[in-house]
Amino acid sequence: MISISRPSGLPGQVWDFFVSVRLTVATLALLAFTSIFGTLIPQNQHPADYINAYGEFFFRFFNVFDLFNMYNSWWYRLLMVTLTLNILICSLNRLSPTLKMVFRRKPAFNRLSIREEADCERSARELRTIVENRLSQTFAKIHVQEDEKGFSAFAEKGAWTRLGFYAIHLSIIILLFGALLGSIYGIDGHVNVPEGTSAGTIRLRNSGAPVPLDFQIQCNAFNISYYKTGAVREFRSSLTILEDGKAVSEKEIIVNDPLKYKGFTIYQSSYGKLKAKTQKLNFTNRATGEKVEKEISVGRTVAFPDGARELTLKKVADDHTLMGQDVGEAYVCELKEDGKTPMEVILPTRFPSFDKMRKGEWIISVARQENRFYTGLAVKKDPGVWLVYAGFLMLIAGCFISFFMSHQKMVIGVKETPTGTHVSVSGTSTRNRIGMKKRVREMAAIFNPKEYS
Amino acid sequence: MNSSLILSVTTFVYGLAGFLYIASWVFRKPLPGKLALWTTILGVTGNLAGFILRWVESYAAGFGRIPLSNLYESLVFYAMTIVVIYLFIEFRHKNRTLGAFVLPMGFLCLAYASLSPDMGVQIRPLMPALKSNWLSVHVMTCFVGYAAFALAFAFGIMFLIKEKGGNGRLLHALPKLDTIDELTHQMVMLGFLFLTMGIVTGAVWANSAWGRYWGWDPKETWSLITWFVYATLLHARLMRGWQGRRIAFLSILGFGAVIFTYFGVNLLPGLHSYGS
Ligand code: HEM
Repeated sequence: MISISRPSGLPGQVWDFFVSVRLTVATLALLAFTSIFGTLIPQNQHPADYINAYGEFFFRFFNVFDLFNMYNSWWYRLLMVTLTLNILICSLNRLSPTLKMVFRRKPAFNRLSIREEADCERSARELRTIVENRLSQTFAKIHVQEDEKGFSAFAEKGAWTRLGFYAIHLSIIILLFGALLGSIYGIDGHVNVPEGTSAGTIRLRNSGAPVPLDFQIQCNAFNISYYKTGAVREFRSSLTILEDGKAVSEKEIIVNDPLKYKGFTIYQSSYGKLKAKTQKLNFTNRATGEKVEKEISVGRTVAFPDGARELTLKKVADDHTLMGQDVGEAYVCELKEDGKTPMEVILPTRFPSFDKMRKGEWIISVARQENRFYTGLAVKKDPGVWLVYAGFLMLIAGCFISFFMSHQKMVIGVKETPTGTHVSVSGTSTRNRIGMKKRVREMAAIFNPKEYS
Repeated sequence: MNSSLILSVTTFVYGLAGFLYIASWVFRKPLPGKLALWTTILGVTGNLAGFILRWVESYAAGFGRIPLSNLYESLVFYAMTIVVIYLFIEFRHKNRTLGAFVLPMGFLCLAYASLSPDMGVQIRPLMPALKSNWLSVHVMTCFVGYAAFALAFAFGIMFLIKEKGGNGRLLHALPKLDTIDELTHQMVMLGFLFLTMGIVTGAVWANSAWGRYWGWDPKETWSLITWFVYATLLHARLMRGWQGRRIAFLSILGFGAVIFTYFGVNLLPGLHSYGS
């Protein structure tokens, strides 16, 4: 059997340090405590914001301890590495005794720690069948050994549940390894794709560096749908993946349902409106109903159809407030007429008849136009995620095994005495000693009901 | 009849049950104890009915979804889980003094949900990021975990009271110290398993929605802190000498972390949506 054990000398001292559960307790407690800071101090903000919030002195002070990016700091990583070494060495240390315990072939008939003794009137021969029957009700493996004065019976179950320890602790290493892999080889990028166009390069989220893809992401359409209450129901992008101009994959993605292609996963992450370069205004004559359409853009001026006045578009406001009401998008213009002071004219896009209130000769409104959107896509690759998920499964399985299952053993020794037999019942369990105590007493009660009623 | 009415009534049923458990403990009479049990069963039935009715109401409102997506709904589920786990323990251990410690928690939980003025009692549709099958699994596992930790907390308090007070008449009725200790440990294990599942399902969900399974946002970090605290407890217990009182203290500390993960995080900057 492979056996890795404590070396001697200085390595031995290092080994002792990393093998102790005391170190585990200290490291876990430190991780719990220090992690709090990163939730009190917002992480990865701009230095100027920190100086604003905390002042120069505390900015420097916090900065020395990397508190602005603490989960990636050297000392936080050191804690993680300590935990990992702790788990590894602790596991190696226990490996050979555990394997012996799990795969042992020969039973040991030594008495176990939870014990009861009973005197019985029946003979050893009689008791043997009773003992075997009772033990086989709960235990799968039973061994009986006869000796000149009677017999001993050994029963156990769940020896394999001792491996739960490895499932838990190894899973944490696997998980951290997967995370490490992802942080080294992963790609975390973003790209905005206007409707009807395609993109073949993404930008990394951290550095902003461009990364070319060997395929193109085409956005066919982007849609937002709403609930009756006005809240957003769904963001949906219809995407096509192109290689050499040919469509190779197609999917409508929503927030919880990304598209996967060649190791990349493409997520719906944001969206925005594309501003048209020129806008159109309608001029309607109040008296005749005559309607004229004119093109305009920000900063430009157009003459009225009658030539007597002119209108300048100052800006297009996204959320304009009129008399305390949010009217959404609105065009802010200036009207000039000979001999009069210029006046401001507001044209809310959604309310074309708003300008009637001005009581001018011409009613101006924003012509209907198609809004075009771009979809914001997160484009990611994480080669470590499968290890992380495997670690997750193993962690849950390991916790379940360790918490709710146990390795139970029972040894019953029967010796003939002048008046009958003396029986010793003993047991152990890796969990629920109280339950095992009860079970041992119940067993003893079979042999001496009077004493154990 | 609507769900919030049923749940308001249930609040008072829990209050009454808690009162009866305390009465049966203080006066050591079996009758209030029996009444308390039946009142609790009535309460939990009302709690479940309210939960289901709210689910039905969301369909009537045109966007059916399991009611587990805001603070109010999570409190309703939380109260129910605490009481259900308690009932299991009562049936197993046949000791009703535990109810005097646990039922008041169920009551407080629902009372906060029903009576707090700025609680989102209206049924709202889900925002896009929450529309995932992982939502219900994630929330349920987290709250079963939190509920087990709430019980571990109650047992921790019970342990300290019994240990301090010696063997007075009242304290004598409480379970033996090592039984309370064992119960605390069992609840911590149950909680740890479910908290682990909660963190894992949350991570898987975040990965399917945003492409990252871990982002150190305050809610995530606090759940990890809570996890570390209970892992510390479990290992401290394996070292000699860490039993009884120290474990009781740690389970109380751990529950502090749970409460902060649940409520306190809303005071910090972050992405998670509860309460905001
Ligand atoms: C994040 C890190 C860790 C987690 C989440 C973790 C979790 C657990 C859990 C849940 C148990 C079961 C407790 C029980 O049986 O009641 C356990 C047991 C144990 N852990 Fe850890 N552990 C971690 C790190 C470590 C490390 C670094 C060591 C190294 C010394 C260690 C040593 C042990 C030992 C000796 C046991 C007892 C196993 C048994 O009873 O068979 N753990 N751990």
